Amino acid sequence: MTEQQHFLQLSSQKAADETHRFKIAKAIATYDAAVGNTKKGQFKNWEEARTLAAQNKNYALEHLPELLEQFEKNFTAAGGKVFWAENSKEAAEYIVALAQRHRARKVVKSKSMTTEEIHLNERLENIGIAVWESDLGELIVQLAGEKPYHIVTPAMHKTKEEIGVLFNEQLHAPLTTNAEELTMVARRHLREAYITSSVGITGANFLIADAGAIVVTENEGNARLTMSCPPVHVAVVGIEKIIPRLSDLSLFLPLLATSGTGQEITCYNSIVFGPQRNDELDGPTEMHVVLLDNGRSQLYQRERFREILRCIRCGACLNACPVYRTVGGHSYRTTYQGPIGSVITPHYNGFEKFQHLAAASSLCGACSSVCPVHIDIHHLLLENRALAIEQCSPSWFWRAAMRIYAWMMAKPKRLQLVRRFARLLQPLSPKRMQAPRLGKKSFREIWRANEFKA
Amino acid sequence: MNSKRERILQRLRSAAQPHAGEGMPAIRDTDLYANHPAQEDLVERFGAKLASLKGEFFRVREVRQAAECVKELLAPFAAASKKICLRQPHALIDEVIAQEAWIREHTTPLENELSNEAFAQFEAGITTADFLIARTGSLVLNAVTAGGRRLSVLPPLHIVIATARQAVASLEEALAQIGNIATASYTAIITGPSRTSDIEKILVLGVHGPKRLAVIVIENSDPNL
Repeated sequence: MTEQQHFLQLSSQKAADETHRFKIAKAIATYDAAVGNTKKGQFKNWEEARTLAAQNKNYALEHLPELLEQFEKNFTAAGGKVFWAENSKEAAEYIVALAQRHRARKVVKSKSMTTEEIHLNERLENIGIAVWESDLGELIVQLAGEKPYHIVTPAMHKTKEEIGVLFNEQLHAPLTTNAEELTMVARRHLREAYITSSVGITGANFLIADAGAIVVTENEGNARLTMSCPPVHVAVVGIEKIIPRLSDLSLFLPLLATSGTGQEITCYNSIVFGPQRNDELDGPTEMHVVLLDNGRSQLYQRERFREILRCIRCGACLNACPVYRTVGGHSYRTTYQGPIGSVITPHYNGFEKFQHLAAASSLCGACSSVCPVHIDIHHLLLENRALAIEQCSPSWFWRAAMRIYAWMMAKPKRLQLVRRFARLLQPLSPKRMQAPRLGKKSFREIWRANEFKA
Repeated sequence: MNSKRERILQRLRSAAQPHAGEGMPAIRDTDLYANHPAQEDLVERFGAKLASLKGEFFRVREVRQAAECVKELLAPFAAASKKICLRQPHALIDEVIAQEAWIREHTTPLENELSNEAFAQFEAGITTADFLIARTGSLVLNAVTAGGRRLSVLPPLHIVIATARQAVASLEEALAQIGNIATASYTAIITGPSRTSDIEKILVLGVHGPKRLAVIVIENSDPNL
């Protein structure tokens, strides 16, 4: 089956699944209420804040090569190591080799979409290294043998009943549906991972050029433990995560928290400048940052698409998207789901496989209207549609259909003729996409017959 | 390895610059955020915010009262003369500890490198902080001034002893100072106890980090501490 066929099949299943719809609607309603309150309560003017953030990221992108070099210079001076990876294979191999060098049998990870992107878990597990996901949501999807459902809330699609059964079967915990008890099961289960792992693996939300630091945002404390207890810390970070100054965090931390979860600021924000120093009592003695390109520099070269690299992975566009809410995160079969995923996935993983995602949008623009860095997401989806035609030669059927469409739309008379046929053919349209029935007479016919005289 | 780096940078350098020349905007907390805290009620704003995030806040006049708070916080964990709490060796904390023999008996200073296993036995950790941010109710601490990275995250109860002088209005002010004194490998901005909403968006405290965060702010402390 092609990716497109998978997508169509999975999304029609999910769209008809009322339990799924109820779960997602409930989670997103909670999110919407929190975000609405925080935008109003925290910011003087949310629109101005996101314009400022977009300007800052534009500046960072404009100076991307210099800022990356500045980060590298400062971070290296503090004793950190930087590895530039052109693709996911190089990034994963570097980390696998690092883990082998330290004879790791176990690594502990905090939530990171870039490590999902490079399929790090599979590669480590293939050589017998156990991977402990420590974010609660990530742990749940790992135990269920699934991929994250959402880039910010990976287990959004699971009920506490389902998680209770999962923890009972996999972790031998007493059966419960109490969220607090379930969370404590995860706490006890993961203590050992922090304490005994040889390598801690994280992503990062920001790279700070002037400070030579990475910033990791979280609520649970699992990332802090992952960066504090094991003797080696490695962070996998996309090259577009750079911001120029440490002081820019006074905008970006509240902005990301507001759009990500509706908090004013997340519980823990760690700024990591390098490995343990001489006057410090603990911390990893080695720290590595893998700067991941994996298609980002090609996207950077496409002027029209450059702005997508402003993305700070807050997940707001997923929550706002009527398509995502209907088909769910797993139907995409991509690392990044929803509108942001539909824009970047074909660029990273090939238009041949993923061009259909450009059509997984109603073009309503809800994604663009909530984006905290003002990315014109829905217009980029339109750009992807155009690129898809350029890059993948369309089928004869598509070309013929477009010819007929162009002919039909060129003259009003032709359109009228077609409408007659459409009324006759309507009963043949597939059940799952039934449109409202066409009227007996067209507007034009009613007008002509003078039936408007009231 | 170098060639990978060069190839990536080359692709970036060779690209056209659609936004060229927009410049870097200034970011001011006073322009961005509603309700910027006034200088006279920084500690009060900090405390109210922390409490709203389910942190425990104590505002005391003297070190003597701070010691009472610490004893009260640790008492439920006390087993006969067992060390239940690790404390950062620091003049202000030592001063508080000196007030109360009971605390001395139940806490131990973190002086040497301690294994993760040994560390995990303790119920509580006492640290200082560098700044208290009034607007967001956040603490800022670093690996040098707060006894390393683990002390403020591994034990289930984190007690912070700070002074009123450490309160600042905004994240902007705290970040400016971090930039100036970045002599540690790690800085944490902590806003309330560890939390998650990963299960059906239900808030649960203490998932991996401390379940409880208690901040004691001393009004009249020796300015040299």
